[in-house]
Amino acid sequence: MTSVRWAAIAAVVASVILAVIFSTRFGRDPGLVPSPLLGQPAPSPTLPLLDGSGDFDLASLRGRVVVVNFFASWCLPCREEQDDLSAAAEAFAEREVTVVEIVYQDTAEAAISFLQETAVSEEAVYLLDPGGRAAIAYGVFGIPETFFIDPGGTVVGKAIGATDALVLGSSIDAVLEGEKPGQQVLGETFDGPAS
Amino acid sequence: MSWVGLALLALGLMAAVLMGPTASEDRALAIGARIRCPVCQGDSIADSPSESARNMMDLVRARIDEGHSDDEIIAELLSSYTGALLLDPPAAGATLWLWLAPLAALVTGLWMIRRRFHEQASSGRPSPTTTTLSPTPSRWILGSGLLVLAGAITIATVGQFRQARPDNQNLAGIAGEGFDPDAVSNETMEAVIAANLENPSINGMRLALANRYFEEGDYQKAFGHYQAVLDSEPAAAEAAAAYTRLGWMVYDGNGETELGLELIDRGLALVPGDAFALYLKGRVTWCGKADPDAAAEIFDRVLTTPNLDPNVRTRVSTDLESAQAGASCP
Repeated sequence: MTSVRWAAIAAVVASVILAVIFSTRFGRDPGLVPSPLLGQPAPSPTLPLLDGSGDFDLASLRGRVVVVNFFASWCLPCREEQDDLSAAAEAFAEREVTVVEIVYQDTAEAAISFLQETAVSEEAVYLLDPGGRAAIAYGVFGIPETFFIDPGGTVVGKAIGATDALVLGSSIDAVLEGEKPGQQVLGETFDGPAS
Repeated sequence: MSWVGLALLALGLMAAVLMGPTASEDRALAIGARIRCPVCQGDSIADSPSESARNMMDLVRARIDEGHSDDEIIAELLSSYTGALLLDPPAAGATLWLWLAPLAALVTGLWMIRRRFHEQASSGRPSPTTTTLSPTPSRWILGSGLLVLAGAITIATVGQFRQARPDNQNLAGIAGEGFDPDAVSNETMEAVIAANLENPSINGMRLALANRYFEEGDYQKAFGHYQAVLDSEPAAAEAAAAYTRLGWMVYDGNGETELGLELIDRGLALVPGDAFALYLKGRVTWCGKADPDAAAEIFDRVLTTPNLDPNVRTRVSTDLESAQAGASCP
C-alpha cells in the first residue's frame, strides 16, 4: 500500500475521531461542567440585605459552614426547594451553619413576595445582588444553584437544580464532618450521546 | 496664549473626551466578543441582550476602568465559569490541537500532492504538467466510499449531542421558556404569575394556565388570563391563541355567535390557517349560525392542514360528514 493511501486512510480515521470528540465533549452543557470554584476560596462580596437594613459581608461567616443559594421569584424549581432551604436554615443553625439566599436577576419586591408565599427563616440571610456581581463571581449559569462552603471559606460542594431536604441535609452533614460533597447534578442529566 | 493655541487646546480636550470612552468601549466589546454568554446558545456577551450578558459586560467595563488588562479580565471570568466560557478555545494546552489540525491537514495534503508528482516523475510517465491527475475508477469508488462513510458517522454521532438541560434547571432563567406545565399545579402557576405581573416572559405560563382552565371548562378563570395576555403586547402567536379561545368562550359561554366569530377571525388574521382556530370557527358557524354548508367548507380546509393530529382529523372528519349531510350540530 502506498504512503498516499495510508495518508488517506489516516485522514478518514481522524475525521471519525473528530466526530466522536465533537459529539461527546462539545455536546456537554457548559453549565454542568465541574465548577472551577470547587476547592477554591469562596467569593465573599459584601451585598445589600434584602430587607434594606444595610449591607452584609459574606466573609463575616468564616468559621461557619455556609450554604449559598441563588434564587428568584420567577424560578419554578426555586419554589420547590424553598421550604427545604428554610427548614435546613432552622435545623442546622445551632451547628454553626448559615444558609445565605441571594436574589438572582429579580426585584427586591418580587423576591420578598416569593419568600412570603413560600417559606422564610429568621436564621437565613437574604441578600440582593446588584449588577449580578456575586452571581458572576460564583459562575452561576442558571438557577437554582447552591454552593456549600466549609468553615475555612473553601467551596467544597455545588448542587445544580432544585435541592431537597435529603440533598441539603446530607451535604451539610458531610461538610460538617470535613468531607467534600463535590458537584451534584440533581434530576435527569445528559452527559453524552449514550444518555 | 494666542487664539490658535486656545483652539488647539479645545480641540485636544474634545478629542480626549470623545476618544477616551470609545477606545475603552471598543476594548470592552472586543473582550465581550470572546466570552460566551452563559445563558445563551452560542452568543457572546457583547451580542446577547440577556441580563446575565449585560451584567458581565458591565463588569468588563468596570475592570477596564480600574486599569486591568484584557487577560486579567478574561482570567477573572474564567476563574468562576471554566474555559467553556471562551468562544474560541485557547491555542494552548489540551485545545492546541484544534488550532494545529487544519495546518496539519494542509501540510499533509501538500505532501500527498508532492509525493504523487514525484512518483509519476520517477516512474518515467509523462509529466504531470501535461496530464491530469485522474484516479482510476476503483480509486474513485474507494475514496468516495470512505468519504461517505466518514460523513455518515459524523452526522450520526454529532447529531446526538442535541441535549436538553434537565427540567429542574432553568438555564435561561425564565419560567415561561421550556417549563413543563403538566408538572406544575394551577395554584403554583397562579402564584408565579402573580409575582411576575410586569414580566412579559410570563405570557408562556399564562397561556398554559389559561389553556388548562379552557380545557377544564372553567371559562371564568381562563378569560382573565387570556385578557391579560392580550393587554401585554404579546407575540402574534400568543395573541392568536388568546383571541381564538376567547372567541369560542364568548360563543359557548354567552351564546354570542357574531362576537365569537369576530374574535376567532382576529386570531386567524394573526396566524392564518391555524387548524384549531379554523375548527372552532367551523363549530361556531355550524352550531351558532346553523349553517352546515359553510361549516363543511371550513372543516374541509382544516383537513388540508399538514401533520394534523390523527385524533383531531378523526373528529373533524366526523363533523364534516354530519355537516355535509345537513345535520344540525350535535
